[in-house]
Amino acid sequence: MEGKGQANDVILRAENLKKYFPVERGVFRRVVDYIRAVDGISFEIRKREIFALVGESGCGKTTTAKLIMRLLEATDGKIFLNGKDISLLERRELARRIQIIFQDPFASLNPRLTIGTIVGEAVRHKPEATGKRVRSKEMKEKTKELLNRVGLPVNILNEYPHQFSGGQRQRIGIARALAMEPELIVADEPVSSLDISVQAQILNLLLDLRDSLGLSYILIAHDLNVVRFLSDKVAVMYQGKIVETGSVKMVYHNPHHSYTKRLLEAIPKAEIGISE
Amino acid sequence: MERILEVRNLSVEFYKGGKIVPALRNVSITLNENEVLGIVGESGCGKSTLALSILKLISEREGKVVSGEVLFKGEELLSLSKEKLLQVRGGRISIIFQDPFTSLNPVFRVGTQIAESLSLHRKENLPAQQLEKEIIELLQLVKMPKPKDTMLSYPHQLSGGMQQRVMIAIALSPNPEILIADEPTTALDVTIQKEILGLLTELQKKLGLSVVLITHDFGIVAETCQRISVMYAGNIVEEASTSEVFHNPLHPYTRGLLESLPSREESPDFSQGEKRRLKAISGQVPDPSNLPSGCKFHPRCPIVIEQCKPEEPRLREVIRNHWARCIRAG
Repeated sequence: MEGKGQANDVILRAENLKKYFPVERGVFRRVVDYIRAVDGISFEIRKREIFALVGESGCGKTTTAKLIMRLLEATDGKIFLNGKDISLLERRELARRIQIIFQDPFASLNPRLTIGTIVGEAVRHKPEATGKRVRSKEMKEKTKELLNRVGLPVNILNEYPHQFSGGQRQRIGIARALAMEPELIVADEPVSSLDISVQAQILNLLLDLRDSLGLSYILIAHDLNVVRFLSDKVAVMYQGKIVETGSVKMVYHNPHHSYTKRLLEAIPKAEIGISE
Repeated sequence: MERILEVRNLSVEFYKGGKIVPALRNVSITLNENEVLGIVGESGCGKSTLALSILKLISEREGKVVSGEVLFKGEELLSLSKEKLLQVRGGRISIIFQDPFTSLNPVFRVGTQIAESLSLHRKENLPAQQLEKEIIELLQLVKMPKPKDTMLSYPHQLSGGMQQRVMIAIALSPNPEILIADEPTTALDVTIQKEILGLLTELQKKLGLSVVLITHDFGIVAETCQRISVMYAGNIVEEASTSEVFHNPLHPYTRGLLESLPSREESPDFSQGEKRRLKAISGQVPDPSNLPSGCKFHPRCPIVIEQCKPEEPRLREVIRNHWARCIRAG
């Protein structure tokens, strides 16, 4: 049944995904209820597509990202990567194909490792997944290439994260994510911790990388302006369910669900009418 | 319009890692009565320091006011005795912060915390019943759905939006004349943000408050502020009415910021795979302990010339009531 009727360019497919967290009470820790964090969602991401999951806190978008990365096991439902059930894939294989960029550029880089090691480790792991060895010189070259690609100077291999700004660290995080040559990148609030003048740089970079490397992204974000700018498709989540899904154009210009409408109306508009 | 608050040539330094870091460099702002003034800027620009300095909330260990004055209806605040300052602080000028959860005491019920504020700024001791009545009225003022239940709750039992409403209630309890709001909705979801901003605007009109709203979000200032001061590297770089700033930004930094916003789409191109790029400002915000010479924005400025490098420009009135700190503005 896997892959049947599936378009050739669908890279990730979620089918009726659920994640329930048990609520335990009492000395004997009896399960009295469940938190339905993700409550039966289905979606598809195509190659080169930027797919956004939006919603407010508690809607389940971050939990969904964790399920895709298999940082959590689903309670029910399946996730298919290129037609294969990810619960049957080896973790290394999954890590090679799906990578993540985190929200907090200050917390996501190991402060005790040099940039060369942070990015280089990932470079070195890639061949381990494919079974080939890589020489140290090759690793250095590849690392420099990655840093260049994300717009960083290449002579920073011996420096430490604390020497860099938020935007620069985010670029380092992106370089690390790219090292494994993934097909899909999970971008969890990639710009929300950055200053607005830097946000634009990183957003541009994410688009450039999508175009040049043919990447797909699943974007988890609460900033609806960022989502509209970056994404091709968007799914609106509310209390664990997807209430609306469609192209960004459709959803933003012609929302159907009342929650989507409320969400869009709430965005403060950085515009002034001439008459004011 | 009366000037209710005036900050004049305020300079503040911090002590960080053995170094002296200038957080505010000769900053002057004016707040008119009944006005909502927006202070916009990115990290390190000094906007939060400005808020704290107005009420002398910078501890002596962290830093100090090097020079300047803060005038509240003509009365200088920074040289007031501790007693008098305590009356102003919270009583006549109130402040609310970004994260309500860290501003509220987790071990006391909400009602108790509001009561504390009420008792602190009143001359008389209020009897319990009267106190309770006023607390409920305050919670109703901030549109809390179940005032009595909220009064008995602990902060962790309330959502972020409700906590912020409690903070607003506490801030407004002594009937202040000025409210300083430092990123009041940054930690909140967008639909809650809309409610809280709507509440603040409504209360401002209802109670005749003068508000200083500090934020990094241009959308928020567009919807709530009449005037905007843009800050960069410890200084004001542009100041004008909201309309002027949006329609005619004079400083290249303000222009750059507005143009780099993902929400500013002139002609949205939705054809798949063909997305336009944002017009980003190159480089990053300077390290306050290592500021460039001359105009602090010059290393990132698209229209920089040689004269920008030696000396920092002064804030000048380029058009009537529209000030910019740029030799090339206008």
